[in-house]
Formats: sequence, structure tokens, C-alpha cells
Amino acid sequence: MKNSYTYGNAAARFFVGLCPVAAAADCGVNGFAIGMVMLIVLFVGGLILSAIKKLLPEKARIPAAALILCTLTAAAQMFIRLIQPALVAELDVFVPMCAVGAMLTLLPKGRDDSTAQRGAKCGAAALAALTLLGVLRELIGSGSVFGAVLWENTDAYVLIAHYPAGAYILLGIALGIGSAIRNHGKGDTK
Amino acid sequence: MNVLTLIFGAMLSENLFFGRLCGTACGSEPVRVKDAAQIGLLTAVVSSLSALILSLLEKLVFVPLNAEYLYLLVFAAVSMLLTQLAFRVRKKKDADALWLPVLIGCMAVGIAADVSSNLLESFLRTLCTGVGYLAVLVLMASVRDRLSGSKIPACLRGLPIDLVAVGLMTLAFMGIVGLA
Repeated sequence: MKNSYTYGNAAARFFVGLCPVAAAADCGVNGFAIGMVMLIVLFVGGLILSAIKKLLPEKARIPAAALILCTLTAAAQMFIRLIQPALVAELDVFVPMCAVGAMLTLLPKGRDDSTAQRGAKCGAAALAALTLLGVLRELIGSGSVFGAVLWENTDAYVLIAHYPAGAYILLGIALGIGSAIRNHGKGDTK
Repeated sequence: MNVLTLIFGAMLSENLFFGRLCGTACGSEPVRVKDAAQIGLLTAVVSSLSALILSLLEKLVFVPLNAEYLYLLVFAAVSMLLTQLAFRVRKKKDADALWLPVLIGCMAVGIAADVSSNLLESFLRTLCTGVGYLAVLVLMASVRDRLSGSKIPACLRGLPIDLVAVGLMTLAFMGIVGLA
């Protein structure tokens, strides 16, 4: 299983980590909420993993990391249930899935940065990316942003944006546009 | 509950992987269909055995002690132990490469399957969700195989086109929601 993009490229690894929870961001509020959960799990998880790295033997690091990330996700779920119970029903299975996303982001060995740095960077990026994805889906799917209706032309709404399929397609297109912009100056003609 | 409804529901119509969590397949490592099938099969077996143990624990420990919040943590621990056991029994050289994808798959299946205190129902539902995950992995690997030989714009190569493919696959499977 060589030549896998998930291990070779830090940016790709980050977006792969977003995949399990991308479908949750169907509006700005949900995108922000799930982004906050990812931020907490990645940031705190990265700090703890970085702190205990030297205390653990090599083979115990992945099991320890998985347990720590699952504990943090369970804590985040309980916290959301405490402050906003309606949000737990909205986010449903995606809050526990943040553990899977965090494992995909943090567990493969990074080449250049520590787990704490990766956790902090990816957590902040996850919050931004998921909120933006939610806002975009809400905007093109129902013409509103964070519940505030901007335009009411039901014929212009792209209904697929409301569905999980729309999340993945939009994410893929956004990544493609980003890649095109990044490679524009480099003259990539392949 | 009707067993056939449970099986086909978990595998097809109510399968969260086909409908909402299809993107989890992007996190799997395999490029080849054969590796994807191995990971999916191991995931289905390990996660269903984990579900049996978790179902017992749910009945005997979590519910009496009001500790359902421990489910995810204990599922992770049980999955890790059973994954290690499965690779020791299997005795092949690719254990290092497959271990993490199988563990992540078990976590995803365990979360999607929603284990309850009914042993048989939990086991069947998790096994069938695992089979659904296997199908998603194999389909994704096949799509990647096809795409690797196609002329794709440079900006869409790799993860972007995989995500678009996953989105279209999710859209297709939404058509069978509510079948069972």
C-alpha cells in the first residue's frame, strides 16, 4: 500500500480527517458546532499526545492515542448535551465520528511537525473549513447564512447541497479550485 | 424485530456508510481492490465480535451503573485488542500496513452500528454494517483504479476527484434508502 496520498501529504491528510464529519456541516451553525468539537479534540489531543510521547514505547502510541481521542470526543459530546441538547440530535452520529477524523489526522506520522503543532494547526483549520462548508451549503441550498435568509428564490437553490453527497462534491470541487490556484504560478501542465 | 429487515436494513437501506458516512472510505489506505477487501472483511469480523462484547457490557455494566458515556472508550479498547488478536491469528506480513485502517474501520462501524443490550440484534447489525463498509471500501478502491487510468485535470487528481466520486456514490445509494 505505497503511494498513498494520506500519508505523504499533510494537507491531504487533514482533508481526509474531515471526511467522516463533513456531512454534518449542512448549515453554518452545525458546521461551526462540529468544527468546535474537532478543534477541541485535535488541539487537546495533540497536546496530550505530544506530552506523553516519550513516556510510551513505540508500539503503545497508537492505542494510547486512540483511547485519548475517544475520551475527548465522549467528553465533548457530554458537554454539548449539557449546553445545547437539541444540537446533539442534529449532529447525531457525527460527534463520535470526530474521534475517527482525529485519528485519521493525528495518527499517521508527520514528517515535519510535532503532534501538538499538527493538532493545533489542524484543529483551527478544521473549524474554519467546516464552518465555511456549512455556510456555503446553507447559502447555495437555501439562500440563508446562519439562519438569516439572504434571498428567496427557490428555483435558484441547489438542493443537493443539503445532502451529504453535496458536502463531498463541494469539498472535492473546493480542493480542486485550491489546487488549480496553487499550481497556476508553477505552470503544472501534466 | 424481523431478522431479514434488520440484515438488509443495516447492509443497504439504513447503512450509514452508503447514505452519510461514505467519506470515511477516503480515510482508508488501500489503493488496490484486494487490500480494500481484506481490510473490509477484517473490520466486519472484528467489529461484530467487539459489538458482542460491548452488548454484554452494556447490559451488565453500563446501564446498571448509568455509564453509557464509556461506550466509545471501551469500544476503542476492545476493538484494539481484538484487532491485535486477529492479526496474530492471521500471521501475514502486511499487519503493520493494515492495522491502523482496520482499527479506524472498526471505530467507524462501531459508531455507525449503535450497539444495544440485545446481543443478537447488536451482533447482526454490526456485522451487516461492517459488510456495508466492506462494500464501500471495495467500490471506492475500484473507482480509484478506474480513475488512475483516466485523463483527469491536474487540479482534480488524487483526493479532489475521490471526494467527488464519493459524493456521486452517496447520491446513488440515497435511492435505496427506505427499501427495507
